[in-house]
Amino acid sequence: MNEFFFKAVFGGVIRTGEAVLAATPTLLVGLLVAAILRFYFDKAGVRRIFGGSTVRSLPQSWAIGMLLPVCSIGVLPILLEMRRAKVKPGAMSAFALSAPLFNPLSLLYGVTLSRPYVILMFAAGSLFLVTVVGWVWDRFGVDDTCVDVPSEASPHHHNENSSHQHSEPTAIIGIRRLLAMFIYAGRQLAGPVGAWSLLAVCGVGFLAAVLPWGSLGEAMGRDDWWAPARMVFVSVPVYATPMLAMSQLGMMFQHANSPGAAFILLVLGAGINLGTIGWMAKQFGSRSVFIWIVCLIVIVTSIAYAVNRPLIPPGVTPSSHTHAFDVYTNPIHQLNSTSSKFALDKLAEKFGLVEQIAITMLASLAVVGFVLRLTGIDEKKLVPAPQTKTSSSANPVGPTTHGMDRIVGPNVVGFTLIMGLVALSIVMCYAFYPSREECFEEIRFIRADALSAANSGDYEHAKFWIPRWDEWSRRMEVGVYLRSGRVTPYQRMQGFLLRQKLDLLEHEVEHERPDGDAIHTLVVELMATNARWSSAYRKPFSPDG
Amino acid sequence: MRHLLLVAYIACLGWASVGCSQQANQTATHDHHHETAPHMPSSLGDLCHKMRNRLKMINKRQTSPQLEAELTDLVSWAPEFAADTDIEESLWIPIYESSEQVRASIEKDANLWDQSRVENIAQLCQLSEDAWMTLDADERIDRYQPHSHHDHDHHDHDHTDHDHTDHDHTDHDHTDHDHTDHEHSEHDDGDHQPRDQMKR
Repeated sequence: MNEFFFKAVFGGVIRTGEAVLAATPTLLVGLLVAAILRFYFDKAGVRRIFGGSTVRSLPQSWAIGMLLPVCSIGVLPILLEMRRAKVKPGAMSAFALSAPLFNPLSLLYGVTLSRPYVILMFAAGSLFLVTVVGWVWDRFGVDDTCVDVPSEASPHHHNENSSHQHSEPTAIIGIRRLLAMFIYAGRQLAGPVGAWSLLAVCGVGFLAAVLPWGSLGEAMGRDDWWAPARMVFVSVPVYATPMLAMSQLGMMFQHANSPGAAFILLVLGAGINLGTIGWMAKQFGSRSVFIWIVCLIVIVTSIAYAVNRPLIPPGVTPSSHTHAFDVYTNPIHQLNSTSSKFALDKLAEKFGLVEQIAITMLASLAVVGFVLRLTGIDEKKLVPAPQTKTSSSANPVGPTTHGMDRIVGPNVVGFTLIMGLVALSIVMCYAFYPSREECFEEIRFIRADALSAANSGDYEHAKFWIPRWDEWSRRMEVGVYLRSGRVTPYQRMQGFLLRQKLDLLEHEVEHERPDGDAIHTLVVELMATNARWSSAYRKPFSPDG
Repeated sequence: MRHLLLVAYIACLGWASVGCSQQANQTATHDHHHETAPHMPSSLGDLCHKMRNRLKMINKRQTSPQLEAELTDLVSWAPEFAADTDIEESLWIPIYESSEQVRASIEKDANLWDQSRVENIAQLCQLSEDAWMTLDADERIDRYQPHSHHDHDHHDHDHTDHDHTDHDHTDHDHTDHDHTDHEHSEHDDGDHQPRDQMKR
């Protein structure tokens, strides 16, 4: 009993740590966007961004959500700001659900699926879903007039009552405003955003504690009628980044798992987490959020069962198992794995350069935030003293211009910053999906490591490199698509075959008693397939010769 | 009410996890097997042979829903099997286009197996056979088929096609004997060799 409990807790802690690492980059983006909304847009400006009270509010909210590179934890700070600005709950729901589902990086990743139109159908289905759920929630779920907007940490709460409908003065400008954004982000991280985010990642830990190692491997079979229903219960506490959800979708289609379960994983696994649900329950009341979540689950499950048969990819033989969901189960297989070295090794696998930079920034921000909270310092200290009554009424806070400085409207600056973020997303797409030659170079090293490890019997090493080869082959496919506008069916097919054989090799090396002959045969196969795949990109067929 | 819902959710999660855990031991030791369809061909040549045999059955009005489903699978697999050989891309493209065309037509109406569809499949078959024959004899090899790890005692990967309605063969060597395949074509046996025996 003690052994079981120890494994559950230890495994849960490891998975929680992995989720924290995965969430840091997009949480930073979320904090930045929330700070921009707070200090560059007044409340009316924020409401305008999300469509105000018009019929556009729902589609506009999900459209903005799809442009921002945030996950379901990264949306939390933005939701707090939307709430402060009294954005309609339906629009908040649409934003909260759609922003983590798709972003430019993850949508492009969908190009590498064997049938990319499925991702477009999933995207269309998800957007229909968030619109319906948002509308139902606005119509039946929330009596917003009875819910008080929290004024916690508001730099302007002293005059909020008089500015419900009109723009509030954004009193801080220039360098002070940048400093105020930093203080605000730190305090939010050390306060409500940090707390709700921790609740969100704890969901993954809870799931890992409950589900034994590898127990979901055969739970989502194509012909298993219960697979979508099972996925509903698993995916609610799950926290998945958009890229993780998309790669799991890829694996599910590769293994011909249940398409309905894949849809549920995308919407509920990537779209919501315990933090989102908890925060909404606190803001809108348990009854209201109960209606929201029931409505969401009923519609998602209905769509999932409706598409479960029609979306089965033709000609793909279902695999009896998948490793796509191993990340949600306990990472510990044997009790002798419960060492600190094992935990550190597991975390090190997820601790790439992006995570290293993000965790350093986030940790610094959190330390600053804690100090500021302990000392009671907040961004209000940076608001300049009120002007005398002789100031111009057109400029109530009366900032003075110095030299070439010009006062630019906050909405203009805020809009520019948001556009900058979108531009940054595009740049990130090109950086994340590099050029063909760069990918070939990277894959050359990975391939050498993976195949020599498999041939020499160093299966742990092979297990580390095989998924990276798979990932880089996908990144190259998207990179070529981004730069040339097309991937030929032959290139796509060769990529499919390469990943199919990588998957087979991965399965072979994972057996307790790996079959050396089968591994050797697969290595030879992989080399041949890799040669054809490379040739498909280096010398694509042209009818003109 | 809130506590009741929480308890209900945990109970449901427990049900889901118990359902999953029943399979956990099997997965934990990777004691699973990779299922392959009984009519899964061993190579592009074998795929053409299987398509031809099923087309013959349809032409003789000896069709059945199972046979049509198998033929649909074979049509869908043609580009994949062709791409897994050393045939030129220029030869692969017509196979892909022809397969997509037939597949779209089957998706549109799965029950209409008229002469036009049969001819289209025959054309796909011809394209695949022509492409297969452009390969040298030592390039006409079987694809790797994942094998069951229940079967560690015998390491030969059974590249066979033996339906349960089949004869009582105990020797699963690289022959082709499903219920539609009594007439052995030129692709049988000597025309392709198993990947295991391949020397590179």
